[in-house]
Amino acid sequence: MIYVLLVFWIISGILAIQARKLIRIIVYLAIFSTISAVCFFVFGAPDVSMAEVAVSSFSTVFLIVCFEKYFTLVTEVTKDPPHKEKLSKRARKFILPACFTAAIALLFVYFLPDGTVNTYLRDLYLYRFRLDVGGENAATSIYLGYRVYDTLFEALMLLISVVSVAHMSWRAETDETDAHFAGVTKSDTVDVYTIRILCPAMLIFGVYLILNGHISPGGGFQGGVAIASFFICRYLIYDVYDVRFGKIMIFEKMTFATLIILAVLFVFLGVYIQLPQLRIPYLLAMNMLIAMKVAFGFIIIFYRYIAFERR
Amino acid sequence: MNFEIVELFAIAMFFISLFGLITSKGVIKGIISMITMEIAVVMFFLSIGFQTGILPPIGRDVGDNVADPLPQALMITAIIIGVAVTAVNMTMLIALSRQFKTTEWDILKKKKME
Amino acid sequence: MELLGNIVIVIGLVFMAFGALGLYKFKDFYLRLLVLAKIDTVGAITFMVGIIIRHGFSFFSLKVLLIIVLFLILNPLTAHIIARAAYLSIEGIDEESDDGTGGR
Repeated sequence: MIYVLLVFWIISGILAIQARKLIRIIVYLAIFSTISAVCFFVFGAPDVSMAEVAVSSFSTVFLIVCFEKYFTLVTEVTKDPPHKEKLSKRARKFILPACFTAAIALLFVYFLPDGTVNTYLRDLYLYRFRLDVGGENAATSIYLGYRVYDTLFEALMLLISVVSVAHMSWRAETDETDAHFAGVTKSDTVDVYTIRILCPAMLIFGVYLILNGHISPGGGFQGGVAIASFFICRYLIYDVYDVRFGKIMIFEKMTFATLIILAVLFVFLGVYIQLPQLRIPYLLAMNMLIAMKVAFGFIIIFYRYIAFERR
Repeated sequence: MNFEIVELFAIAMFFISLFGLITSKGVIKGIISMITMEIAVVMFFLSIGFQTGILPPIGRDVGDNVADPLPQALMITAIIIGVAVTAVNMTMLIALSRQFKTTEWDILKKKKME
Repeated sequence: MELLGNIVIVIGLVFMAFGALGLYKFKDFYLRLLVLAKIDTVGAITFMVGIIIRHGFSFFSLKVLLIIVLFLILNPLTAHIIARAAYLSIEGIDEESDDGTGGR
Protein backbone atom coordinates (compact mmCIF):
# COMPACT_ATOMS: atom_id res chain seq x y z
CA MET A 1 0.00 0.00 0.00
CA ILE A 2 2.81 2.37 0.84
CA TYR A 3 4.27 2.07 -2.66
CA VAL A 4 1.02 3.15 -4.29
CA LEU A 5 0.92 6.16 -1.96
CA LEU A 6 4.52 7.03 -2.76
CA VAL A 7 3.93 6.80 -6.52
CA PHE A 8 1.01 9.22 -6.19
CA TRP A 9 3.20 11.40 -3.97
CA ILE A 10 5.88 11.71 -6.63
CA ILE A 11 3.30 12.34 -9.38
CA SER A 12 1.67 15.16 -7.43
CA GLY A 13 5.10 16.64 -6.67
CA ILE A 14 6.06 16.65 -10.34
CA LEU A 15 2.72 18.24 -11.22
CA ALA A 16 3.25 20.93 -8.57
CA ILE A 17 6.70 21.71 -9.94
CA GLN A 18 5.73 21.88 -13.59
CA ALA A 19 2.30 23.57 -13.33
CA ARG A 20 1.95 26.96 -14.99
CA LYS A 21 -1.14 28.48 -13.40
CA LEU A 22 -0.63 29.64 -9.85
CA ILE A 23 -3.97 28.26 -8.61
CA ARG A 24 -2.99 24.83 -9.86
CA ILE A 25 0.30 25.07 -8.00
CA ILE A 26 -1.62 25.67 -4.78
CA VAL A 27 -3.98 22.73 -5.37
CA TYR A 28 -1.18 20.33 -6.29
CA LEU A 29 0.89 21.39 -3.29
CA ALA A 30 -2.08 20.75 -0.99
CA ILE A 31 -2.48 17.25 -2.47
CA PHE A 32 1.27 16.66 -2.11
CA SER A 33 1.28 17.66 1.55
CA THR A 34 -1.78 15.57 2.36
CA ILE A 35 -0.35 12.42 0.76
CA SER A 36 2.95 12.96 2.54
CA ALA A 37 1.09 13.29 5.86
CA VAL A 38 -0.59 9.92 5.25
CA CYS A 39 2.83 8.43 4.41
CA PHE A 40 4.29 9.79 7.66
CA PHE A 41 1.46 8.11 9.54
CA VAL A 42 2.22 4.80 7.84
CA PHE A 43 5.88 5.25 8.76
CA GLY A 44 4.89 5.30 12.42
CA ALA A 45 5.20 9.03 13.06
CA PRO A 46 1.79 10.47 14.04
CA ASP A 47 3.40 13.59 15.54
CA VAL A 48 5.06 14.54 12.29
CA SER A 49 1.90 13.69 10.38
CA MET A 50 -0.16 16.01 12.54
CA ALA A 51 2.39 18.81 12.18
CA GLU A 52 2.40 18.36 8.41
CA VAL A 53 -1.40 18.50 8.18
CA ALA A 54 -1.61 21.63 10.32
CA VAL A 55 1.23 23.34 8.48
CA SER A 56 -0.07 22.46 5.03
CA SER A 57 -3.50 23.90 5.78
CA PHE A 58 -1.83 27.06 7.06
CA SER A 59 0.49 27.39 4.08
CA THR A 60 -2.34 26.86 1.57
CA VAL A 61 -4.19 29.90 2.90
CA PHE A 62 -0.93 31.80 3.13
CA LEU A 63 0.05 31.03 -0.48
CA ILE A 64 -3.40 32.06 -1.73
CA VAL A 65 -3.02 35.43 0.00
CA CYS A 66 0.54 35.87 -1.31
CA PHE A 67 -0.32 35.02 -4.90
CA GLU A 68 -3.31 37.30 -4.81
CA LYS A 69 -1.00 40.16 -3.83
CA TYR A 70 1.53 39.05 -6.42
CA PHE A 71 -1.04 39.17 -9.24
CA THR A 72 -1.81 42.78 -8.54
CA LEU A 73 1.87 43.69 -8.45
CA VAL A 74 3.44 42.03 -11.47
CA THR A 75 2.87 43.53 -14.85
CA GLU A 76 5.50 41.84 -17.00
CA VAL A 77 4.86 38.14 -17.42
CA THR A 78 6.67 36.40 -20.26
CA LYS A 79 4.66 34.47 -22.79
CA ASP A 80 5.23 30.78 -23.36
CA PRO A 81 8.42 30.36 -25.38
CA PRO A 82 8.07 29.09 -28.96
CA HIS A 83 8.80 25.42 -29.28
CA LYS A 84 11.06 25.73 -32.30
CA GLU A 85 14.27 26.39 -30.46
CA LYS A 86 17.67 25.29 -31.53
CA LEU A 87 19.05 22.13 -30.01
CA SER A 88 21.99 23.88 -28.37
CA LYS A 89 19.72 26.29 -26.51
CA ARG A 90 17.40 23.51 -25.41
CA ALA A 91 20.38 21.45 -24.33
CA ARG A 92 21.68 24.29 -22.25
CA LYS A 93 18.27 24.70 -20.68
CA PHE A 94 17.19 21.13 -19.94
CA ILE A 95 19.59 18.38 -20.88
CA LEU A 96 22.61 19.71 -19.03
CA PRO A 97 20.72 20.25 -15.73
CA ALA A 98 19.12 16.82 -16.15
CA CYS A 99 22.53 15.21 -16.56
CA PHE A 100 23.86 17.19 -13.61
CA THR A 101 21.07 16.15 -11.24
CA ALA A 102 21.19 12.55 -12.43
CA ALA A 103 24.94 12.44 -11.77
CA ILE A 104 24.53 13.86 -8.28
CA ALA A 105 21.68 11.44 -7.57
CA LEU A 106 23.79 8.45 -8.64
CA LEU A 107 26.67 9.68 -6.50
CA PHE A 108 24.33 10.06 -3.52
CA VAL A 109 22.87 6.59 -3.95
CA TYR A 110 26.38 5.15 -4.34
CA PHE A 111 27.57 6.67 -1.06
CA LEU A 112 24.47 5.63 0.87
CA PRO A 113 25.64 3.52 3.83
CA ASP A 114 25.47 -0.24 3.47
CA GLY A 115 24.01 -2.85 5.75
CA THR A 116 21.18 -2.83 8.22
CA VAL A 117 20.24 0.27 10.18
CA ASN A 118 22.03 0.77 13.49
CA THR A 119 19.35 0.63 16.18
CA TYR A 120 21.56 1.26 19.20
CA LEU A 121 20.38 4.82 19.83
CA ARG A 122 16.75 3.93 19.19
CA ASP A 123 16.82 1.11 21.72
CA LEU A 124 18.61 3.28 24.26
CA TYR A 125 16.10 6.11 23.92
CA LEU A 126 13.12 3.78 23.99
CA TYR A 127 14.45 2.07 27.09
CA ARG A 128 15.54 5.17 28.99
CA PHE A 129 13.19 8.02 28.12
CA ARG A 130 10.63 7.29 30.82
CA LEU A 131 13.34 7.24 33.47
CA ASP A 132 15.26 10.27 32.22
CA VAL A 133 12.62 12.65 30.95
CA GLY A 134 9.20 11.24 31.76
CA GLY A 135 6.01 11.13 29.76
CA GLU A 136 4.76 8.47 27.40
CA ASN A 137 5.48 9.98 23.99
CA ALA A 138 9.08 9.27 23.02
CA ALA A 139 9.28 11.99 20.35
CA THR A 140 8.11 14.69 22.76
CA SER A 141 10.50 13.43 25.43
CA ILE A 142 13.40 13.61 23.00
CA TYR A 143 12.74 17.12 21.72
CA LEU A 144 12.12 18.41 25.22
CA GLY A 145 14.75 16.42 27.04
CA TYR A 146 17.71 14.97 25.23
CA ARG A 147 17.60 17.33 22.27
CA VAL A 148 16.28 20.49 23.91
CA TYR A 149 18.94 22.64 22.27
CA ASP A 150 17.56 21.78 18.83
CA THR A 151 14.16 22.98 19.97
CA LEU A 152 15.65 26.19 21.36
CA PHE A 153 17.43 26.94 18.10
CA GLU A 154 14.28 26.12 16.15
CA ALA A 155 12.45 28.71 18.24
CA LEU A 156 15.30 31.14 17.48
CA MET A 157 14.94 30.44 13.74
CA LEU A 158 11.21 31.11 13.93
CA LEU A 159 11.84 34.34 15.84
CA ILE A 160 14.39 35.52 13.25
CA SER A 161 12.10 34.72 10.33
CA VAL A 162 9.16 36.47 11.97
CA VAL A 163 11.30 39.55 12.62
CA SER A 164 12.54 39.53 9.02
CA VAL A 165 8.99 39.17 7.67
CA ALA A 166 7.83 42.04 9.85
CA HIS A 167 10.71 44.29 8.80
CA MET A 168 10.96 43.47 5.10
CA SER A 169 7.26 43.65 4.28
CA TRP A 170 5.84 46.91 3.15
CA ARG A 171 3.37 48.91 5.15
CA ALA A 172 0.57 50.86 3.55
CA GLU A 173 -0.06 54.43 4.56
CA THR A 174 -3.73 53.86 5.31
CA ASP A 175 -5.08 51.05 7.41
CA GLU A 176 -8.40 50.65 5.63
CA THR A 177 -9.80 47.17 5.23
CA ASP A 178 -9.11 45.39 1.98
CA ALA A 179 -12.16 45.83 -0.24
CA HIS A 180 -11.78 42.50 -2.00
CA PHE A 181 -11.52 40.35 1.09
CA ALA A 182 -14.20 42.33 2.88
CA GLY A 183 -16.66 41.95 0.02
CA VAL A 184 -16.31 38.19 -0.07
CA THR A 185 -16.39 37.44 3.60
CA LYS A 186 -18.32 40.05 5.46
CA SER A 187 -21.76 39.95 3.94
CA ASP A 188 -22.16 36.18 3.96
CA THR A 189 -24.02 34.88 6.98
CA VAL A 190 -23.79 31.11 6.45
CA ASP A 191 -20.04 30.67 6.76
CA VAL A 192 -19.78 33.39 9.40
CA TYR A 193 -22.22 31.60 11.70
CA THR A 194 -20.79 28.15 11.00
CA ILE A 195 -17.24 29.27 11.72
CA ARG A 196 -18.52 31.04 14.81
CA ILE A 197 -19.87 27.70 16.03
CA LEU A 198 -16.69 25.81 15.11
CA CYS A 199 -14.16 28.25 16.53
CA PRO A 200 -14.43 27.12 20.18
CA ALA A 201 -14.04 23.52 19.02
CA MET A 202 -10.83 24.51 17.23
CA LEU A 203 -9.49 26.24 20.34
CA ILE A 204 -10.39 23.26 22.53
CA PHE A 205 -8.64 20.94 20.10
CA GLY A 206 -5.49 23.06 20.23
CA VAL A 207 -5.49 23.13 24.02
CA TYR A 208 -6.07 19.37 24.09
CA LEU A 209 -3.10 18.81 21.81
CA ILE A 210 -0.87 20.94 24.02
CA LEU A 211 -1.95 19.47 27.36
CA ASN A 212 -1.77 15.87 26.15
CA GLY A 213 1.43 16.32 24.21
CA HIS A 214 3.50 14.14 26.53
CA ILE A 215 1.18 11.13 26.65
CA SER A 216 -0.40 11.05 23.20
CA PRO A 217 0.41 12.29 19.69
CA GLY A 218 0.54 16.04 19.62
CA GLY A 219 2.56 18.65 21.39
CA GLY A 220 3.50 22.28 21.34
CA PHE A 221 4.09 22.75 17.64
CA GLN A 222 0.83 21.20 16.46
CA GLY A 223 -1.24 22.87 19.15
CA GLY A 224 0.37 26.21 18.35
CA VAL A 225 -0.59 25.96 14.70
CA ALA A 226 -4.16 24.98 15.69
CA ILE A 227 -4.44 28.05 17.93
CA ALA A 228 -3.04 30.24 15.15
CA SER A 229 -5.72 28.86 12.83
CA PHE A 230 -8.29 29.91 15.42
CA PHE A 231 -7.04 33.48 15.12
CA ILE A 232 -7.10 33.30 11.30
CA CYS A 233 -10.73 32.17 11.46
CA ARG A 234 -11.41 35.04 13.81
CA TYR A 235 -10.18 37.41 11.12
CA LEU A 236 -12.48 35.72 8.61
CA ILE A 237 -15.50 36.05 10.91
CA TYR A 238 -15.32 39.61 12.07
CA ASP A 239 -13.14 41.05 9.30
CA VAL A 240 -11.70 43.57 11.70
CA TYR A 241 -8.11 44.33 12.26
CA ASP A 242 -7.63 44.95 15.95
CA VAL A 243 -4.39 43.11 16.63
CA ARG A 244 -1.63 45.26 18.06
CA PHE A 245 1.59 44.21 16.44
CA GLY A 246 3.98 45.80 18.88
CA LYS A 247 2.45 44.01 21.83
CA ILE A 248 2.36 40.64 20.10
CA MET A 249 5.99 40.92 19.05
CA ILE A 250 7.04 41.86 22.57
CA PHE A 251 5.05 38.89 23.90
CA GLU A 252 6.78 36.60 21.43
CA LYS A 253 10.23 37.72 22.50
CA MET A 254 9.30 37.36 26.17
CA THR A 255 8.04 33.84 25.48
CA PHE A 256 11.31 32.98 23.83
CA ALA A 257 13.30 34.33 26.78
CA THR A 258 11.17 32.33 29.22
CA LEU A 259 11.69 29.22 27.10
CA ILE A 260 15.45 29.59 27.21
CA ILE A 261 15.50 30.29 30.95
CA LEU A 262 13.30 27.29 31.76
CA ALA A 263 15.24 24.88 29.58
CA VAL A 264 18.61 26.03 30.86
CA LEU A 265 17.41 25.86 34.46
CA PHE A 266 16.16 22.32 34.12
CA VAL A 267 18.73 20.79 31.82
CA PHE A 268 21.88 22.75 32.65
CA LEU A 269 21.55 23.09 36.39
CA GLY A 270 20.31 19.54 36.83
CA VAL A 271 16.99 20.25 38.53
CA TYR A 272 15.87 17.31 36.44
CA ILE A 273 17.96 14.80 38.28
CA GLN A 274 17.37 16.18 41.76
CA LEU A 275 13.62 16.67 41.65
CA PRO A 276 11.94 13.88 39.67
CA GLN A 277 8.46 15.02 40.64
CA LEU A 278 8.90 18.21 38.58
CA ARG A 279 9.36 16.38 35.28
CA ILE A 280 5.73 16.30 34.15
CA PRO A 281 5.15 20.00 35.03
CA TYR A 282 8.33 20.81 33.11
CA LEU A 283 7.04 18.99 30.00
CA LEU A 284 3.67 20.74 30.26
CA ALA A 285 5.24 24.17 30.72
CA MET A 286 7.64 23.68 27.81
CA ASN A 287 4.83 22.50 25.53
CA MET A 288 2.74 25.53 26.47
CA LEU A 289 5.60 27.96 25.88
CA ILE A 290 6.45 26.41 22.52
CA ALA A 291 2.79 26.54 21.50
CA MET A 292 2.59 30.22 22.46
CA LYS A 293 5.77 30.90 20.52
CA VAL A 294 4.56 29.15 17.36
CA ALA A 295 1.07 30.64 17.58
CA PHE A 296 2.42 34.18 18.00
CA GLY A 297 4.81 33.71 15.10
CA PHE A 298 2.14 32.42 12.72
CA ILE A 299 -0.35 35.10 13.79
CA ILE A 300 2.24 37.79 13.08
CA ILE A 301 3.09 36.34 9.66
CA PHE A 302 -0.55 35.97 8.62
CA TYR A 303 -1.82 39.29 9.87
CA ARG A 304 1.17 41.06 8.43
CA TYR A 305 0.23 39.81 4.98
CA ILE A 306 -3.49 40.37 5.37
CA ALA A 307 -3.38 43.79 6.89
CA PHE A 308 -0.21 45.57 5.93
CA GLU A 309 0.74 44.21 2.56
CA ARG A 310 -2.25 45.67 0.82
CA ARG A 311 -2.67 47.89 -2.14
CA MET B 1 24.31 -1.18 -1.83
CA ASN B 2 21.59 -2.26 0.50
CA PHE B 3 18.74 0.19 0.95
CA GLU B 4 14.96 0.23 1.11
CA ILE B 5 12.86 1.03 -1.94
CA VAL B 6 10.97 3.52 0.23
CA GLU B 7 14.13 5.58 0.72
CA LEU B 8 14.70 5.57 -3.02
CA PHE B 9 11.35 7.30 -3.61
CA ALA B 10 12.29 10.14 -1.26
CA ILE B 11 15.72 10.51 -2.90
CA ALA B 12 14.08 10.61 -6.34
CA MET B 13 11.67 13.33 -5.23
CA PHE B 14 14.55 15.36 -3.77
CA PHE B 15 16.47 15.30 -7.03
CA ILE B 16 13.38 16.03 -9.12
CA SER B 17 12.90 19.14 -6.98
CA LEU B 18 16.58 20.00 -7.48
CA PHE B 19 16.05 19.74 -11.23
CA GLY B 20 13.03 22.01 -10.98
CA LEU B 21 15.07 24.49 -8.93
CA ILE B 22 17.86 24.58 -11.51
CA THR B 23 15.63 24.92 -14.57
CA SER B 24 13.15 27.37 -13.02
CA LYS B 25 12.46 30.43 -15.13
CA GLY B 26 10.78 32.43 -12.40
CA VAL B 27 11.27 32.91 -8.69
CA ILE B 28 7.94 31.26 -7.84
CA LYS B 29 9.00 27.93 -9.32
CA GLY B 30 12.14 28.07 -7.21
CA ILE B 31 10.12 28.59 -4.04
CA ILE B 32 7.73 25.73 -4.89
CA SER B 33 10.69 23.44 -5.60
CA MET B 34 12.17 24.34 -2.23
CA ILE B 35 8.92 23.41 -0.46
CA THR B 36 8.80 20.00 -2.15
CA MET B 37 12.49 19.50 -1.42
CA GLU B 38 11.93 20.05 2.30
CA ILE B 39 9.10 17.53 2.39
CA ALA B 40 11.27 15.04 0.50
CA VAL B 41 14.03 15.42 3.08
CA VAL B 42 11.53 14.81 5.89
CA MET B 43 10.25 11.74 4.05
CA PHE B 44 13.78 10.39 3.67
CA PHE B 45 14.59 10.74 7.36
CA LEU B 46 11.35 9.09 8.43
CA SER B 47 11.60 6.23 5.95
CA ILE B 48 14.93 4.95 7.31
CA GLY B 49 14.37 1.56 8.86
CA PHE B 50 10.83 1.14 7.64
CA GLN B 51 9.12 -2.23 8.03
CA THR B 52 5.52 -3.09 7.29
CA GLY B 53 3.25 -2.73 10.28
CA ILE B 54 5.60 -0.46 12.20
CA LEU B 55 4.21 1.13 15.35
CA PRO B 56 4.60 4.67 16.71
CA PRO B 57 6.83 5.04 19.80
CA ILE B 58 4.00 5.97 22.16
CA GLY B 59 2.81 4.04 25.15
CA ARG B 60 4.29 1.32 27.29
CA ASP B 61 3.90 -2.10 25.71
CA VAL B 62 4.59 -1.51 22.06
CA GLY B 63 6.75 -4.54 21.40
CA ASP B 64 9.74 -4.75 19.15
CA ASN B 65 8.64 -3.27 15.83
CA VAL B 66 8.79 0.41 16.82
CA ALA B 67 9.69 3.44 14.75
CA ASP B 68 12.80 5.44 15.60
CA PRO B 69 11.74 8.45 17.72
CA LEU B 70 14.88 10.54 17.15
CA PRO B 71 14.28 11.53 13.47
CA GLN B 72 10.64 12.24 14.33
CA ALA B 73 11.63 14.69 17.05
CA LEU B 74 14.03 16.43 14.66
CA MET B 75 11.58 16.49 11.74
CA ILE B 76 8.78 18.17 13.71
CA THR B 77 11.05 21.17 14.14
CA ALA B 78 12.16 20.94 10.50
CA ILE B 79 8.58 21.22 9.25
CA ILE B 80 7.90 24.36 11.30
CA ILE B 81 11.17 25.87 10.09
CA GLY B 82 10.08 25.04 6.52
CA VAL B 83 6.99 27.20 6.88
CA ALA B 84 9.07 30.03 8.32
CA VAL B 85 11.47 29.78 5.35
CA THR B 86 8.53 29.83 2.94
CA ALA B 87 7.16 32.95 4.62
CA VAL B 88 10.51 34.75 4.32
CA ASN B 89 10.79 33.66 0.68
CA MET B 90 7.32 35.00 -0.07
CA THR B 91 8.16 38.32 1.58
CA MET B 92 11.25 38.64 -0.57
CA LEU B 93 9.24 37.68 -3.67
CA ILE B 94 6.68 40.39 -3.04
CA ALA B 95 9.37 42.98 -2.34
CA LEU B 96 11.12 41.98 -5.57
CA SER B 97 7.95 42.18 -7.65
CA ARG B 98 7.15 45.55 -6.13
CA GLN B 99 10.53 46.93 -7.07
CA PHE B 100 11.06 45.43 -10.54
CA LYS B 101 7.45 44.58 -11.58
CA THR B 102 8.53 41.10 -12.65
CA THR B 103 9.84 37.86 -11.21
CA GLU B 104 11.43 36.21 -14.26
CA TRP B 105 15.13 35.60 -13.94
CA ASP B 106 16.01 36.75 -17.49
CA ILE B 107 14.21 40.09 -17.24
CA LEU B 108 15.62 40.59 -13.75
CA LYS B 109 19.16 40.10 -15.04
CA LYS B 110 18.59 42.65 -17.81
CA LYS B 111 17.15 45.16 -15.38
CA LYS B 112 20.04 44.63 -13.03
CA MET B 113 22.56 45.29 -15.79
CA GLU B 114 21.06 48.67 -16.70
CA MET C 1 -21.93 -7.90 11.37
CA GLU C 2 -18.63 -7.72 9.58
CA LEU C 3 -20.22 -8.71 6.26
CA LEU C 4 -22.84 -5.97 6.64
CA GLY C 5 -20.11 -3.42 7.36
CA ASN C 6 -18.19 -4.50 4.29
CA ILE C 7 -21.29 -4.12 2.12
CA VAL C 8 -21.88 -0.58 3.39
CA ILE C 9 -18.21 0.31 2.79
CA VAL C 10 -18.50 -0.96 -0.78
CA ILE C 11 -21.62 1.16 -1.30
CA GLY C 12 -19.64 4.20 -0.16
CA LEU C 13 -16.83 3.35 -2.57
CA VAL C 14 -19.39 3.05 -5.40
CA PHE C 15 -20.64 6.55 -4.55
CA MET C 16 -17.07 7.85 -4.69
CA ALA C 17 -16.41 6.12 -8.02
CA PHE C 18 -19.53 7.60 -9.60
CA GLY C 19 -18.50 11.00 -8.30
CA ALA C 20 -15.07 10.66 -9.87
CA LEU C 21 -16.77 9.66 -13.13
CA GLY C 22 -18.99 12.72 -12.91
CA LEU C 23 -15.98 15.00 -12.50
CA TYR C 24 -14.83 13.87 -15.93
CA LYS C 25 -18.29 13.87 -17.50
CA PHE C 26 -19.45 17.38 -16.62
CA LYS C 27 -17.71 20.44 -17.98
CA ASP C 28 -19.69 23.12 -16.17
CA PHE C 29 -18.13 24.43 -12.99
CA TYR C 30 -21.23 24.36 -10.80
CA LEU C 31 -22.18 20.83 -11.85
CA ARG C 32 -18.69 19.64 -10.99
CA LEU C 33 -18.94 21.38 -7.63
CA LEU C 34 -22.22 19.54 -6.99
CA VAL C 35 -20.58 16.21 -7.79
CA LEU C 36 -17.62 17.07 -5.60
CA ALA C 37 -19.92 17.78 -2.65
CA LYS C 38 -21.58 14.41 -3.28
CA ILE C 39 -18.23 12.65 -3.05
CA ASP C 40 -17.28 14.46 0.11
CA THR C 41 -20.51 14.07 2.04
CA VAL C 42 -22.39 11.01 0.80
CA GLY C 43 -19.41 8.83 -0.11
CA ALA C 44 -17.28 9.56 2.93
CA ILE C 45 -20.17 9.39 5.40
CA THR C 46 -21.40 6.06 4.03
CA PHE C 47 -17.84 4.78 4.25
CA MET C 48 -17.52 5.79 7.89
CA VAL C 49 -20.93 4.36 8.80
CA GLY C 50 -19.65 1.07 7.40
CA ILE C 51 -16.57 1.35 9.62
CA ILE C 52 -18.81 1.90 12.66
CA ILE C 53 -20.92 -1.16 11.80
CA ARG C 54 -17.79 -3.26 11.43
CA HIS C 55 -16.29 -2.26 14.75
CA GLY C 56 -19.45 -2.41 16.78
CA PHE C 57 -20.13 -0.23 19.79
CA SER C 58 -16.82 1.00 21.21
CA PHE C 59 -14.75 4.11 21.91
CA PHE C 60 -13.28 3.98 18.43
CA SER C 61 -16.78 4.19 16.94
CA LEU C 62 -17.48 7.27 19.04
CA LYS C 63 -14.45 9.01 17.52
CA VAL C 64 -15.61 8.10 14.01
CA LEU C 65 -19.05 9.48 14.90
CA LEU C 66 -17.40 12.76 15.90
CA ILE C 67 -15.64 12.86 12.53
CA ILE C 68 -19.01 12.28 10.80
CA VAL C 69 -20.50 15.24 12.67
CA LEU C 70 -17.58 17.43 11.60
CA PHE C 71 -18.00 16.26 8.00
CA LEU C 72 -21.70 17.09 8.09
CA ILE C 73 -20.91 20.62 9.28
CA LEU C 74 -17.83 21.38 7.22
CA ASN C 75 -18.39 19.90 3.76
CA PRO C 76 -21.57 21.84 2.87
CA LEU C 77 -19.75 24.90 4.22
CA THR C 78 -16.78 24.45 1.87
CA ALA C 79 -19.05 23.77 -1.12
CA HIS C 80 -21.04 26.88 -0.27
CA ILE C 81 -17.93 29.05 0.05
CA ILE C 82 -16.49 27.81 -3.25
CA ALA C 83 -19.79 28.33 -5.08
CA ARG C 84 -20.18 31.80 -3.62
CA ALA C 85 -16.64 32.82 -4.51
CA ALA C 86 -17.21 31.51 -8.05
CA TYR C 87 -20.46 33.44 -8.30
CA LEU C 88 -18.81 36.64 -7.13
CA SER C 89 -16.03 36.33 -9.72
CA ILE C 90 -17.96 35.03 -12.71
CA GLU C 91 -15.68 36.51 -15.35
CA GLY C 92 -12.67 34.50 -14.21
CA ILE C 93 -14.65 31.24 -14.24
CA ASP C 94 -16.03 31.78 -17.75
CA GLU C 95 -12.62 32.61 -19.10
CA GLU C 96 -11.04 29.50 -17.64
CA SER C 97 -13.76 26.97 -18.42
CA ASP C 98 -13.43 27.54 -22.16
CA ASP C 99 -10.37 25.35 -22.46
CA GLY C 100 -12.29 22.24 -21.41
CA THR C 101 -10.81 22.08 -17.93
CA GLY C 102 -13.72 23.72 -16.16
CA GLY C 103 -11.50 26.18 -14.38
CA ARG C 104 -9.91 23.73 -12.09
